[in-house]
Amino acid sequence: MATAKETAIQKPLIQIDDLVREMTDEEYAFYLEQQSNAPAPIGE
Amino acid sequence: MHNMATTTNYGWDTPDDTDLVKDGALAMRDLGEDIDSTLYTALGGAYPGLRFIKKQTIGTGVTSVSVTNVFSSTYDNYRILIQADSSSGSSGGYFALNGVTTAYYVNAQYMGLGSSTITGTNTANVSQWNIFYFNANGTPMAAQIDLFNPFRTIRKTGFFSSQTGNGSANGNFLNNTTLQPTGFTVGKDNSETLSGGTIYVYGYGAS
Repeated sequence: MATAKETAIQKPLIQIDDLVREMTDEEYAFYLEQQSNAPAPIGE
Repeated sequence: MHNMATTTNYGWDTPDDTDLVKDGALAMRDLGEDIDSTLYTALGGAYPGLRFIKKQTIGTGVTSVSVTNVFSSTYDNYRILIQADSSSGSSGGYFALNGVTTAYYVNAQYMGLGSSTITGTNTANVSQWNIFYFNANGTPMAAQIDLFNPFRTIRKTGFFSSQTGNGSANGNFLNNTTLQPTGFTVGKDNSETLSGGTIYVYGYGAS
């Protein structure tokens, strides 16, 4: 039986001390919210 | 009291070459007490000077690095050194206290590499300290930070100097909460990444 293969959107990697893993949905949502205040690069 | 030989510089008591073994334990205790007394005096107390707390290696392709269990009641103030060997993209970078999501303020001046133009900037009441400024890709991200009172129940302040290989910034920052974070996170904006390097945390000890 064929199974549908889901294509998951890869989230950024987060490192906590020595552990590196993909962000959870919650962590990614928090990160995006935190990013709403990010400054522009130099010269922009 | 048995007369023992002493060391050249500090006069620590040691057995003579021909001392009998039966007094060996006393000789060790005398020497240990002498060393303890000298070091305690020289170093000024229990937590003198800048004290190493933690070294954290930065992985490959990570958007953020969280350094945990570094702030406590042992020290009021901390020195943090950050060196990420390379970064992707030209977005900025940030420094944030774990578990503290609001009331971050930065006042800074930044310059592009090779430019003499100083630009003033500030971020007010946001969710992280924006202290790294880029205008090109793939360069180191480094900072020297003095952080005051992260673990005391008062507002936190600090000073930073940062260099991204193509931009530099200097400034000061404030967090207007009285929370007690035990760690911090360094990260890149817009899901860009850091690869390689090390973060060092030191406490300013006092006798």
